[in-house]
Formats: sequence, C-alpha cells, structure tokens
Amino acid sequence: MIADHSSAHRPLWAIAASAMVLIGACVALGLLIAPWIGLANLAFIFLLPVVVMAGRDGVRVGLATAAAATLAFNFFFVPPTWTLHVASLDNVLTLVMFALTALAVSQFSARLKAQAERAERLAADSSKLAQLSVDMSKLRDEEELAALLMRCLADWSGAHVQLIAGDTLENCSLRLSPMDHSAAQWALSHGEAAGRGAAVMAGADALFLPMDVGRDKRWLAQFWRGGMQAPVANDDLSLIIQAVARGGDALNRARVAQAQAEIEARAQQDAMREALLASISHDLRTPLTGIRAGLDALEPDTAGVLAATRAEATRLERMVTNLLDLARLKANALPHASEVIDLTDVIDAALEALPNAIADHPAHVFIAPDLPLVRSDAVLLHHMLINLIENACKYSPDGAAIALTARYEDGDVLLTVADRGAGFPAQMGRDLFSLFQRGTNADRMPGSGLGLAVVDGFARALGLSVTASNISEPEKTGAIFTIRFPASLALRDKAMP
Amino acid sequence: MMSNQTILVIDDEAQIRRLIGAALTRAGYDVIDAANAREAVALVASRKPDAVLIDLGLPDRDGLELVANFASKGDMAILVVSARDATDEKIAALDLGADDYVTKPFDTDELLARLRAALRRRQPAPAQPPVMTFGEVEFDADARIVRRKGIEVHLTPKEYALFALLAHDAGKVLTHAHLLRSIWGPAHETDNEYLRVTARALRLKLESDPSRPTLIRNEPGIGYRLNRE
Repeated sequence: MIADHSSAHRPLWAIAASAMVLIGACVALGLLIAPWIGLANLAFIFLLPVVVMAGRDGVRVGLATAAAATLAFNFFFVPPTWTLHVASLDNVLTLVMFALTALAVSQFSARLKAQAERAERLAADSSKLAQLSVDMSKLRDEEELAALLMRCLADWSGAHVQLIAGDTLENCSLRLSPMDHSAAQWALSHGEAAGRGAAVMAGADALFLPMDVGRDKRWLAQFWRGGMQAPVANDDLSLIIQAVARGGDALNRARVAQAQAEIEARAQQDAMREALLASISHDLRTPLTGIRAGLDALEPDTAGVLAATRAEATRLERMVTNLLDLARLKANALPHASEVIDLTDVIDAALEALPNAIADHPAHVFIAPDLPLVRSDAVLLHHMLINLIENACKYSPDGAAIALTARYEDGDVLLTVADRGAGFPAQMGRDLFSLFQRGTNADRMPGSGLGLAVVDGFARALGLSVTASNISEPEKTGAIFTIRFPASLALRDKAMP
Repeated sequence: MMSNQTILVIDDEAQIRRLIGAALTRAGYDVIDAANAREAVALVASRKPDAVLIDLGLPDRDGLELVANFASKGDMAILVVSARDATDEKIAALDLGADDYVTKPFDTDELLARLRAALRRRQPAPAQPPVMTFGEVEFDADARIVRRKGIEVHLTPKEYALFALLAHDAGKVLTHAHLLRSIWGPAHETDNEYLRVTARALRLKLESDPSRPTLIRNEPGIGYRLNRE
C-alpha cells in the first residue's frame, strides 16, 4: 500500500530505541550547554523528541516519549541532579509545566501527522479512482469492463472479488452460505453494503457492495478472503465503495451505448426490409397495372373472355397483396397505427373495394346502434375484412347473401362475417388459418388459402382474436368468422369539446 | 367547340405511360407524357396541362416534391398514381395539394371517373349555386341550413363545420388531420375520436341507412369524403 503507512507498524523495540537515542542526544546536548542557560530554557530541548516521536508514530508513542523525557529532564538537570528528587517548589513548577507542555505537544503533532496522512491518502485514492475511470472509459464491452473492475477491486482490497448480476443471484445462491446469501439479498434490495465489515449482517463471511448499473438494475460486488481478516480493511472501505460506484456508472454507460447500437442496427435492418418489400411490391404491381389497362382497352368482349381475364387479373392482384402482407408479417416489417376507428367505416370501405363479389352476393349489414369505437389500425383491418368477405363469397352458393355484423358483447366488440356455404369440418378448428390450409372441399374453389393466414396474422399483430364456427341452425349451413376486439380496445363515450 | 383538355402522364415505365395514355386518348383527352420529374416540370411550364397524373416513384426526384411544386401553381388538377401501399404517403400527397389518388393496379373506369371529378372541381364555377344538392340532402351555405328530404336538420356547430368542409370540397378526400385541424384546432390534430364521433352523429342525421353510408364515406386510414351524388 502506501509506503509511509508501514512506519505506523514499526516494531516496538525500534520505536523505543529511536526514542532513547533522541532523548540521549538531548541529555548530551543539555549537559554541554547547561552551564550557560537556565533550567526553563533547557526544558524546550526536551520537547523535540516528543514532537518527532508523536509526529512519526502517533499519539501513544508521543505520550510515552513525553513521560520518558520528563523523567530524563528531572534526573539529569533538575536539582538535585542525578536523582528523581526535586528540591525547590520553583523547580517542581518547571517540571509540571514541562510535563503538561510535552503532553499537549505530543497530541498536537500526532493529530497533524494523522491529518497529513489522511490528505495524502485521499489524494492517492482519487488519483487511483481517476485512473480507473479513464481505463474504464476506453472499454465498450460489458464483459471487459467487469473484468477490469474485478481486477482493480481485488488489487486494491487484497480480497477475492466477484461481480454478481442482481437477477442471477438466485442461480448462484448454491455457492453462497446461507448467511452470505441473506447479506447479498439485503444489499441487493436495500442498495447498501451488507456482510462482514458492514453495518448490517456483519456475521457473514463475505462483504457485499451494491452497484447500480442502470435504471432498476443492480449488481453486487462480493469480497471474501480466508481466515479471520475482514475482506476489506476499514481504511480501504471508502475507496472500494467509490470504485464500485464508478464501475456501476461505467457498466451502465456501456449498457446504454450497446442498447443504442442495437436499436440503430435493428432500425436500419427494418428500413432495408421495408424498402425491399416496397420495391418488390412496385415491381409486381406495375405489370398488373399494365395488364389491367391493356384489357380495358380491348373491346368488344368476345364471349366474355375479357371479363374472365379481368377477374383473373384481380385474383392475381389479391394474391400479390396477400403474399406481400405475409412477407411483411414474417419480416416483422408491419408498422401499424393505433387510431380510433368506427367499424361502420371499415365494413363500408371493404364492401366498396369488392364491387364484383358483392354484385353476386348481396351483403346484409347489421351494426348495433350502441357500437363503441375501437382502437386499431384501419388499413390492416381493411385487408382482414376484404379477405373474410372474399372468402365468404367464394364458399357461398351463387346469389346467396353474406351477412356482416358489428356488435357489443360483454365488453368486447365483435365483427362477424357469415356465409351460406357448406361450412367446414368441425375438426379443422384453428388449422383453417394456417398458411395454405384450405377447406377439404376447396379443391374446386378459387383462391390460395393465403387470405385466412393474412387475417390470422394481422389479428395477432393487432391484439385481436379471430375464430371460425359453423352455423348451428336446422336447415341452414354456413360458416361464421368472428374478429374479437378485447374490451381494452373498445372506447366508451368520452366528453368532446 | 371547346378544345380538348390536356393531361400530363408522369411515370417512369414506358408501357404504363402508353397504356394510360391510350385510355385517356379514347376518353377524348389530349395526352402528353414524361418519364421523369425534369421532363415533367418542363412540360408543365410549356404546355400548361389541365391535369397531371403523377407516379410517386420517379427516378430523379420524389414524386411528392412534384405534387407540392405543381399544387403551388394552383391551376391544374393533380392525381397521384402510386404502387406504394404506404398510407402516410397518400396522406402526404393529399395534404400537399393533390386532388385524389389511385393505387396501382387500378381500374381504368375508376381512374377516368376520378380524373373527371378532379377536373370538374378545378373549373371555376360560373356562379356558386346557392344551394348544393347531395342526393336527398340540400345544403344552403349562405343561410347555413342543411335539409334532408326538404326538412331542416338541426346540426351541432361541430357537425355543421364538418359537413360544410366536406361539402365545399365534395368528392375530394379530406384527410383526418386536415379536418381535425380545421374544426378543433392544431392541438387536436391526432384526436381521431372527435372526428369519428361527429361523423357518426352526422350520418345518423343525414344518411337513410347509417350502417351503409352513401353520403359520408371514409377511406381507411386516410380521410372522409362527401359523395357528390
């Protein structure tokens, strides 16, 4: 540790010897000059050993030296000399004055010495801490930082050091004694030092210092060593606590920087994906636009060929849209808004977008008058409903109506699409929504099964659930698809300016 | 006889330019076209088209810049044609002054209908008719009176404000943000809920079947429009 620190622990004999030598020198000097100066002045010489010894070895050595110097002064110089007797009252006074002065001087110089030492120590500590901060600021990696900090703490405390992430404490509890584990838990939950050498849980073997490494994230620094010695010496405790705090700050900074970098990387990746999908979308739709415009330019329609080709082009468009939607879902590149929506609008817009399907299958719409507004994404809902309506038309007999309802039930908002088709085998359940799965009687039906997968995927992304059931009425068949908005997404009436 | 109206088609795909051009020519318009923003700006300056069809994905400049540029000239109908799905781009185009948008691939009839509607709106009305009619609904802007089947309908101030805004730009989509800004002020630009509640109340008073609106229509995620018919 600090070089002059060791002088405090010089062996007793060395201290005694140096005191003897100093006092001896004073006696010799005193004998030389005694004939010329008075007794009171001579006494000052004997204060010198007291100052030196107290300043060097502390207040106890100073007091002992003061006593020895008093005796020597009495023995050699206070008449009658060469005895410890004191003849005149005057000289008793001189001797008492000397003893009191020596006492005060020894205490005073010992205090000066202690202050100087403390200042020196603080300066050394702060330069060490500054160096640690500089070293840590050069590191970006959390693990490297932790390793540096552990090395430093072990070096300064002389103990074994281990860093424990707070949330992993339970996992490494096996390696901790029950006492140590309690101390660790206390330090973790209270954010204060606990264990051997701390104010609480001093019965533990190890010392645990809490280390805040971010908002609501705390680590522990564990210090232990074999034998009876405290893991961290009292004198070192403040330095170690400060080093741990700086380590926490550095780890926090590294963590934030790393999270920031990850967010940026992810955002860049998402942007690239989104750009790629947008460009694919453009590339697929442009030829479709050309085909549509070209078909519209051809007249007259011989034997309905044009109408049929147009219908095929429309189907292809829907498939392209669904494929792109699914790709976005899979790539997590599906930004969605959270806006307040009137389901009346969603139903109206979906029916408007499907003029041909609705021409064959009239739509019956029922919207409950007390229907709350919902919070969702209008465009994604629009795509979901288009797919459900197309699906319903696809499986309905020619000319049969489809039914759409929006209603309020037990706090949830339900949007349903029902058809008059054959329904689906009950055992299919959720399989209906898996990618490319189609009703068993669907071989003859147009469509690719993508639609329901899009409905299901969008529903999940929006926090909705979608289910399918068969109509269970005598003489009637058909399937009902239900989109359920949980109560948390339904808006009750609110005051409006 | 009135000379044909001139339409500028801006699209970087030659085939699309040719096919849209053919459809427009059949419908009786004079068609000029541009493959990029630079050509388009030059043609707008020299030929002064009555309407432009802008594809937002242009090679040299963002189509939205062209929308803003042409809208500032103020004397031509602007239709945005986009293959992009992004709703916010459509909103941006409308807010920058586009009259309408169509998404690729589109129906030729629909494109022509929207173009006609936009051109009609651009024509200086000989004299603003004192009473506008939308199906069963009459709107007397001077007297601030709305009638349905000849009977005056009482509207709250917000309902009236919404109806008046939509009626003055009948046929055009007005974005949610624009409506909220105009009626409730800039601080409420994102309070969609106000708009939904007011639109629903307006439909209850003006539509014959509020669950199948024919008058006040909504474009998902974009805005409201009042049907002309």
